[in-house]
This record gives sequence, structure tokens and C-alpha cells, in this order.
Amino acid sequence: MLDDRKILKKLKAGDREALCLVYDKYKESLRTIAASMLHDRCAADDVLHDVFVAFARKARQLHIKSSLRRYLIASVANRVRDEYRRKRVHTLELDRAEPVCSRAGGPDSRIMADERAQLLAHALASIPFEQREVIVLHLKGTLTFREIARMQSITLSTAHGRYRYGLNKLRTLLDGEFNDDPC
Amino acid sequence: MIPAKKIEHHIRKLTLPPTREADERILQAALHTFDEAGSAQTTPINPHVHNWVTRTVAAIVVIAVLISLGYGASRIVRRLMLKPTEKAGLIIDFKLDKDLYADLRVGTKQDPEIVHTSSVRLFVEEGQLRGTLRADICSWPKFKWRTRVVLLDHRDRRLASTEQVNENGGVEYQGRRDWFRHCIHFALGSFDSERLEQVQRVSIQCEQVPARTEVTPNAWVASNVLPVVHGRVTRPDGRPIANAVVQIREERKEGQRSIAAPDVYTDARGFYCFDAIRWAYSVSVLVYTDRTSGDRYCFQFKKFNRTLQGTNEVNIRLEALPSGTAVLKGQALTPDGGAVTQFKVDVRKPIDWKNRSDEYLYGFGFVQFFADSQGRFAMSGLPSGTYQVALMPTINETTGRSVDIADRREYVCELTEGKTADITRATEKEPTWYGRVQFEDGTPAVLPGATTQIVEWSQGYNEGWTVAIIDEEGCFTARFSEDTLQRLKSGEVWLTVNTTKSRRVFNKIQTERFPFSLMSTDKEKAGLLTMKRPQFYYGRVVYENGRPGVPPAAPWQGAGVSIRLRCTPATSHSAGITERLDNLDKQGSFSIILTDEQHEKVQAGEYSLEIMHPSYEDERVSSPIDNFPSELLNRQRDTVKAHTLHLESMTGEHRHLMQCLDSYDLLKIFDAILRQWRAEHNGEFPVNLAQLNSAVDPEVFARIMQTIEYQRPGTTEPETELHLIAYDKNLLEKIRGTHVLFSNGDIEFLPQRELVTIDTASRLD
Repeated sequence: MLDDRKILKKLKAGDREALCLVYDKYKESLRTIAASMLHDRCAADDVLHDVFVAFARKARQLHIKSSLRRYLIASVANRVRDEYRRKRVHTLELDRAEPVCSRAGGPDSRIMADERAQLLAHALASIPFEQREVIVLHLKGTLTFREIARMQSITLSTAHGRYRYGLNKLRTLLDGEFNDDPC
Repeated sequence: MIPAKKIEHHIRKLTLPPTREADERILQAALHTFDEAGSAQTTPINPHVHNWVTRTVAAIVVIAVLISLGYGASRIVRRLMLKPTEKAGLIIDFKLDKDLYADLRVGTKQDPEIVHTSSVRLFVEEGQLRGTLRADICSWPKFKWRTRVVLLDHRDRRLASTEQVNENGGVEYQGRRDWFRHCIHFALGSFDSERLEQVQRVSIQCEQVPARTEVTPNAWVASNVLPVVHGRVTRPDGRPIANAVVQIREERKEGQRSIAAPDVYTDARGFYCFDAIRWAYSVSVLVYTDRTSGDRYCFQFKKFNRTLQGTNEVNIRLEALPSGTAVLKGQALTPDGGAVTQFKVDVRKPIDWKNRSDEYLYGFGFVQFFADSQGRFAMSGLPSGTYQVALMPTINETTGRSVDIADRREYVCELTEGKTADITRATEKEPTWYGRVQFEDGTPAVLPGATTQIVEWSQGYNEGWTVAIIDEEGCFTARFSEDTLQRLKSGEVWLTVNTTKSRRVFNKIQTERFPFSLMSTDKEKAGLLTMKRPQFYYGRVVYENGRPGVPPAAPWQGAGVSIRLRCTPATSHSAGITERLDNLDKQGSFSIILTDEQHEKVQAGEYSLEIMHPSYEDERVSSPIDNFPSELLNRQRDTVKAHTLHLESMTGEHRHLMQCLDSYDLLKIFDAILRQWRAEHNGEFPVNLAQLNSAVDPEVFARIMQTIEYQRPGTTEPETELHLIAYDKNLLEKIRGTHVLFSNGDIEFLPQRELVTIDTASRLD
């Protein structure tokens, strides 16, 4: 796999393959982040579409200060927020929403892992969007709280608070569903 | 309450099955835009020339900066970039009685991520200049670190220096690095005020000292008094495999296995190690192969087919993963004949678990994710042979909530080189099985305030899966796939009747067995199991001062104290099977359900009841703080005797729990006082603590003055919406973290490093 800097350099030189490489490399994580935040698979695909089309449009003039991954995650987060404000997707009924699945347990615990992932996805969908956003960006997007705070124009302690409150709600929602042993 | 760590772990592992159609659509659109943007753009300079010019200019600038700054530049660059180096040093301005932060990142080629973050405080005590250095190091156990502190004058001449070598803790070789906290106390000789004035800077250096003896499992095994299982996992060509999952399973009874140890992972050299194995055990390895694409991966499983005891070295060499030209295709359908649109196909070589003749049991498999509106799939590149194929929907189309076990389809399929096997078939609806359970007195097996459920267990799994809930009449219905039915009949899968306070999806503890022979597809002919009535037992936990043994609702945010039953006798701190039974209520009371057999084992000390307490530093982490004494368990709620948690005799952070709770209470009181003050003064905060003197009881006021550091909001961060207005300074000195009060009344526990925003110098009292 090529280094991001090399990929960006190729992109600026107009290499189409580089764009495919970027897409292949980040599609899975970006789609999961978008779907976890919106709890809607189709909307997540739309977000991914918008982000990559916008990325392709300005790929030749792009000056990324942080890493390419962080840039893409920030783009997805911004699009998701726009989408959320536009459609208010959080009102989607749980039964209509589509969950995400997990490969955490591997083949030996495949049923249980999927069950857990779905319970988790539904629980995520039922916490406030602001809290869900911080949780998903921090855990799935591996952004620091400082980066999230800067992205959302909130203070560091607010980001911390949203994360903590969100996680506690998840714990309450999933109480009795998961076992209490360490992972 | 579930540990937050577990939820965090599962969120990190969340991933969506890929959709080829959407991917193609998005990529085509992006490429189209990319091409259009390229044709519309006019590049004034050839990109290669542009790059060359940019590079030249950058190089000139860097050389100029280096020349102008000399050696200092590299030091600044290192300081700013914190690049891992084998030896790191930093010079900082000297300040007496202040924490000096020295962020050093030290690494080696093998371990580039070792981090050494220090804080140093220098102070004068009895004419001697002394200091304390604290460092958090992520490193291998038993590795040593040399730390050097040098005092320099204004010309960087050495005034005094000291050096210490400290070893990381952790006597256990676990095949992984861990965090170690180092606290070094040092003395730099006698310093009077005149000599102190000469000190301008402090140089801090640290480096990893090569271990005298290489830390290998063998060395560790030799030094360990407990039985140890260890070994190496390698590829067919002998190269080590890192991160292979090594499963060490206890084998106590035929057909009833349970986990003796949590899974361990091999390190970069392929080694694994686990200690304190008391019972007979088996060792197996699970390796996931590198994924060739996002929607397909393979795995291999190899088990050393002997039951072992005591210290053993088990080396496992994996086989070359077979490949072939066979193709498997088919269609995933629901029982009603509808298509399953998103699913995964698991093709695996069946393992003959009962085979005792071979030295190893070996299996492998291929998993691929599919998304198709007709439910069609095709997997190519498979080797020939007999395989077990499982189709599993990743989304349940009907409920949208969870995977119904009845939707899982398993087939045995014969694959031939170069040929295509088709497993499309409409599945028949599975029959419903009925059963009944009652207590000895003839009443249905249902306890008020509890759920009685039928749990399915299978060999090799440490968790049971709830398949049915017993209704008020003591009856239940369940559905099983064809494969499960066969295994139920053969005894590979079995059912138990579990009574718990909260309904669970996964269970850990096996209780009364429900023989499958009692079940029938005819409701009238359903067999009846008569079992002893499990009993409710009550208990109570209090802190030393008589207060209920639960922390306040905040800052722990509901992370309550829970009672956990440890079932398998513990062989090490992390081994054993446990299940949470109940959370303590606000009065510190709990009630649990135990069968007679379980109660006897608790009384005999074979099982233990652990009190799990959340950490005050991180409420997401819960750890066993004490065992609840079995003699205090009571069948009558009214006559319960409380168990006292003696915090002072405890190790680790729980020693300071009482001060922590008191600190929380005091800040609550302080918050109430502030609210009252503000109500009387047009919402204004007091300028300093002294202003509260007349408004507060003298005793409380004295305590507040001694304990609380107060800062009027807006003095340091006027732009923020939430202000940190007070914290407990005594607690901060004691445990490097404290409770803080925010302007909205929230109280949180913050570690010291997050308190730098408080400007104590501007305190206005």
C-alpha cells in the first residue's frame, strides 16, 4: 500500500489510479463512520459519494495540513452534520433503520458478534446526535477530543462531557445485553 | 452495568459489509469529476518542474535556518516533533516548587512507540535540593530505564547531576507491552539561596538500558514458580506469526469445556505465554490470514490434540493454506422463500472434535460478504473436499433488529476442482419444539422479579445463547436448525435452565440441565422437568463510615457497584468465569438468585462473590475491590447484616476512595452555597472565598478554606461557555487528580494533567 504522501503527489499529477487507491483504502472506515452516525446505510453512501466527488474536484489543488485520513474523516463528519440538519435523520424509526455489523469475534463467535453489533448500532442510534458524533469520531475515527472539539467548535470539556454522557447512555441501554467480562 | 471499555471495544470493531454496486457508483462519479476537473484546469508550470523548484527552495530555507541557529535547531526540531529516538533529552528552564513537563519520546527500531513522558518537581528540603520525577512508560516488562537530571547555570555549565536506573514492573511475560509508572526521588546536594540563583536550566535525559538477560518466555518460565504454558507459533516455513490468537482451554469433564484463561496473543517473535494453569488444559491457535480484499478473509485453526497439565512448551506450526479452482454458488433465502440481500458465507473444513488419534486437529475456512438483491452469491478459488457452509444474514430484513437464529443456514457441501457446486434451495420452516419446567412444589418455574430462560451451550464456547423464555405457565417454545438438532441429539450442544434477574442474550454460568429428550414438536407431548427452586439471597455493603457502599450518582454517572459471581476457581487475577448478578441500590443493598448447588459452593469458598467497584479516575473501569462474605448472605431482606469495605487496608487507588467521596460531598455543599450567594447577588459569583465568610457556618467555612481552591469564572477563559471554578487541592496533592466544580454545577474528576488551565497565581483571595 502506498504512503498517503505519495498518493497525494500522484493525485496532484493527475493520476486516476491514485484516486482509486484512496477510495479503496478509506471507503470501509468512512462508510462505517457515516453509517454509525446517521444509522442509515443509503444516507451513508450518499455522504461517501459527496465527499469523494468533492475530493476529486479539488484533488489537484489540495493542501492538507494534517493527514489525508483525518482530512477525509473531517469531510465525512461535516457532510453528515449537514445531512443530519437537512433531513433530521435521527427521527428515523428504529425498525426502519439498518444496523452495521461486526467482524470483531471472527468465525468462532460469529453469531454473537453480529448480534452485539446490531444491538450496539441500535443503541447508538438512540442517543443524541451530538454525543454519537463524538463517540464515533473518537473511537472509530480515532480523532482526539481536541480535534473533535475544534471540528465542532466546542470546548474540550464539552467534547469530553458529550463522550462521557453518550457512553453512559449506551451502557444503560445495553445493560443486560452484553456480559460484564473484560473484552 | 456493562463496562464502558467493552462498548468502546465493540464500537471500534464496528464495520459495514461492503456494497459493490454503491462502491462502483461512487468511484465512477469521483473519477468522472476528477477527469473533468483536470481538463478544465490549466497548469501554468509543469508539475515536475514545479516540484523541483519547490524542493530546491525548501532545501535552501532549511539549510539557512540550520546555519543560523546552529546546533540549537536540531534540538528545537527534536523538541517540537518528538520523534522517537533511542535516547532523548530536553533542557527546560528551572523553576523551584513547580511541575516542569518534559515530553520525551524514546523508542528503538524494534519498539518505535515506547513513550516516556515525565514531570519533574524540584524543591528544597533541609538545605538539600531534592526532586521527584514521574514518568509513564509504555514498554516491555522488566526493561530498565536510565534517567539523568543535570542542573545547569547560565552558560550551561554543570552545577549538579544525578542518575538513576529503574526497572519496569510486571513480573509476568505476557507477550505484550504495558504501561508502567515510574516515580524517582533524587537529591542534588546542598543548595543555599546564593547557589540556587545560579541554577538557570534543568537537563533531563532518559534512555532505555539494554536488558542484561533477554526477556524471553524461557527466561521467564525459569524464574516462575507457577505452572506455565508457553511456546511459539510459526508459519510453514518457520517464520513467526505475530498476533495469533492462542486459546488455552480448561478441560475438566468430557463434553463440558470451559475457558481457563483469556485468549493470549503472540508477540512479534511468535511467542506466547500464560501462567497459573492449575487444571488440565488444551492449547489451540486461531490465525486470520491477511485479507486480500475488504470483503473476504481466511482463517486457520490448529489445536494440539492432547490434554496437558503443569508447565509445558507447545509450539505450533501452521500448514500452508490450500487453494483450488472449485466454485460455490447459491442463493440465500429466508424460511418464507424471500431473498436475504446482505449476508456472509462461511465455508470451513469440518473438524472432528472427537478424534483423539491425530496429534493436531486442523481446520481452515473462508468467509466472504455478499450484497445482492436476489440473495445470490458465488465464491471462487476454493480447494476441493467436503466443507461445512453457513449462510448468515448480516441484516434481518423482517425485524431490522437482530439476527434470528432460525435464519442461519448450514449445509455440508462437496466441492470438486474446476467444478461449480450449487446450494440454492428453498428452506423449509423449522418445526417448533416445546418443553415445560416446574419447581418441586408443582408451581411453574418462574420467580417473581426474575426471568427463567432456556440457554443453548456448545462445546468450545464460553457463552451460552438464550433460545427461549419460560412463560408464566412454565412452558417454552424454541426452534433449532437441522445442524443444531443433530448436535443436540448427539450431546455436542445442550440446554440449561437459567434463572436471572435481568434477561440476558449471553450467559456465562451453567445451571440445571434440560434434557433434549423431554422436548417434543407436539405441545401436548412436551416433557416436564422438575427442578429445585432457586432462592433469592440478600446482602448489603457499606463504607467504613457507615454510608452505603455505592459512590454518588456523579461523577461516576451511574457506574454502580456490582456483585459478580466468580464460578471457575481463579487461577490468576484474570482467569475464571464470572457473571454479574446485581447492582447495589442507593442503600448499598443487593439481591441475587442462587441455586442450592451454587449457594453450597459459595459457602464452601469454591465460588466467590466479588464486589466490583468503579475507579474514581475512570468510571468506565471496574475492578474487584473485595469479596462479599458468604456468611452475610441472608434469605430475609429485613435482617441483613452489612459488610464493611475497609478502604484503608486496600491497595491502589481504593485506599483514597473515602477522601474522594468526602471531596465530592464538600464540592456539592460548596456548589449549594454558591447558588445561594448568587441568588442574593444578582447572579454574580463571589470575588473570593473570604466573601462567603458571613454567609456560611464557621465550621464549614474553615473546611472550605482548607480544602477548596476557588477561581471566579471569567478570569482566565472568558470566552468558554463552561468555567472551571473550584477544585479540591488536598486531593490533588494526594492522588494527582481531583474533583472539580464547573460553573453549571457539574462535578467531575479530572487528572492533574488536565488542570493546567487553572491559573492558581491569579487566585484573588
